[in-house]
Amino acid sequence: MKVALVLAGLLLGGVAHADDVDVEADDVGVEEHDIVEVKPGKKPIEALAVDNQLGDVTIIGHDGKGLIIYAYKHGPDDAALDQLRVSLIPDPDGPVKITTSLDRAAEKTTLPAGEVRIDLVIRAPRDARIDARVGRGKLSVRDMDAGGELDTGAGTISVENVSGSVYARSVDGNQRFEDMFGDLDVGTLTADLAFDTVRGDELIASVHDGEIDARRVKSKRIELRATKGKIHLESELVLNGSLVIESRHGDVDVSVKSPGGIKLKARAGATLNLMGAETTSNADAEWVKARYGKAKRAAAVELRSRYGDVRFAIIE
Amino acid sequence: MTCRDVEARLSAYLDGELDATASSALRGHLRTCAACNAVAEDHAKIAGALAGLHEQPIEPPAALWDGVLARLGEAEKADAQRSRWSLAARSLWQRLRWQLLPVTAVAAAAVVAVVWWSQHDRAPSTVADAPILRAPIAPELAPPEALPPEPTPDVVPEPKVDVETSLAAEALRIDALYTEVVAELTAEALVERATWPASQQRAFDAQITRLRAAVSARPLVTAPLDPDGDGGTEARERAWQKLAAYLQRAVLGELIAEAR
Repeated sequence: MKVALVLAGLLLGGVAHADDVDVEADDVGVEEHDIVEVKPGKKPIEALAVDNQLGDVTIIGHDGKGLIIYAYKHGPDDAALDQLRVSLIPDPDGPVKITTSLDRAAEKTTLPAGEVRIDLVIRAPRDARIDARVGRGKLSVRDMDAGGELDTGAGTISVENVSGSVYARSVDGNQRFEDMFGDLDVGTLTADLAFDTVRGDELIASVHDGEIDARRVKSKRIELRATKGKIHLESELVLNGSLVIESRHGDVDVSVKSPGGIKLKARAGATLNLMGAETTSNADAEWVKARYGKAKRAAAVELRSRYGDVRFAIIE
Repeated sequence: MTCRDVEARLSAYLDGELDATASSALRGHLRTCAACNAVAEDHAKIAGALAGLHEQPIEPPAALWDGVLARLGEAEKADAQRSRWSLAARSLWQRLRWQLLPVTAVAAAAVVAVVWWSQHDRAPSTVADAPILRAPIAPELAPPEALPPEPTPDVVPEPKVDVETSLAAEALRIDALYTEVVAELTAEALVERATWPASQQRAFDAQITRLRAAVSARPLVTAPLDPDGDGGTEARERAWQKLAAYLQRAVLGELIAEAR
């Protein structure tokens, strides 16, 4: 019987066991499915750290107190599967750590990169904070309440229905956030960022070469920056809120609802369109300032594109 | 470069203390002098055993090494033929160049990665010279024995790359991408910087120097599955991210706006 999960779960005080181990063969290799349940010890599981450079990671919150780890291993043959490891490293004072690795001490045969992978699906207590890293794989998190740090290389990041502060970075993997209820600090080098329904106090996002598309955002502080890409934002401002949207080469397109006044300053290298009042600007022009509604507790809005267009509209 | 010169500089070369020009000239001599090459190999074995140089091997595909070795061979032979004045001038230029644009050794790795990726669909080149003793990071990088089959125009066979090699290549690719983006941002930031007052320029330069040093201080980790790893990859990426974010703010005009 293959028990590929290396368990050190006894320190958790609970039972950590492989419920099912299932090996299947298909046309392009063999697969092994492992399920391990980890019950908490005296202390609840407050944090979870996952590092998987060999495939995808999906973390789903649940109302239980323990972890359920589904490991899907794929390889060209049984010998390859034997070298794939999932390690569970509990720390009574820190996060439960789950990592994947290769056990190549016995024999050093080639493990073809495209044919070897480990995908992890983890059901975690909803109030555990997440720290997850993957390489080229997909990283998905949903239904969690304590936020976390998410990190990928080329892999995509997808987050849905999450509270708590989230810090996310990818190198060239797209990122999407939906139904977010905590602060967001998001960045990527060459990829796109998408936000839909964000309610945390802060939304800070930056991209070098890519687009930012944010809809249904209601945050007190919003800062979106792009060097090359365009930025589209639909937002509901809050009283005394601040909005900074900047692109060097891309267009800036902002539509807002506002419960109060707005202090706006904007600057565009090409066309500056403020509520239908179109003006042509240039990179050396001074800021164009405008005020809408009452000055008291007005939201401060700053829009800038060095070489592109800036468009601003107020939605009733 | 003479045998005496090689003898005097061999230890420094094996310790990675010679600059690129001197290293190239020394390797060029080793290519043509069997006696010096034998001595150097003995030294390398001892140094390698002491320093544990074989702990993290990187094994790029054959096509990469064949091409790289052939090109390096030609360049190094040319360096070996240069006069001392010429070598000194190149050394000086290289030092100045690094000060002006402090790209770390990672840049070299990035070039290797780019060459690697760009050669995926090319026919393998022939080996011009026998492999010779490499600098400290290189002895374990022996060229694979078999060349991959020549691809047909329509169907490019996927080379069977080992997963650890693939992960190492990915780490190099990411580092190269950071290098490229930071270079791009730096070029744009310098345009903005030229319009700033001297005090703001000095503050910018000092901060960039600090942030670049932070990147250089964290070595590139090409073995992300190493269970004994200390999160070096993450630390280096965070340092890159801070540098890129600062440059982006400069490019967007925020730094000078704050100063005013």
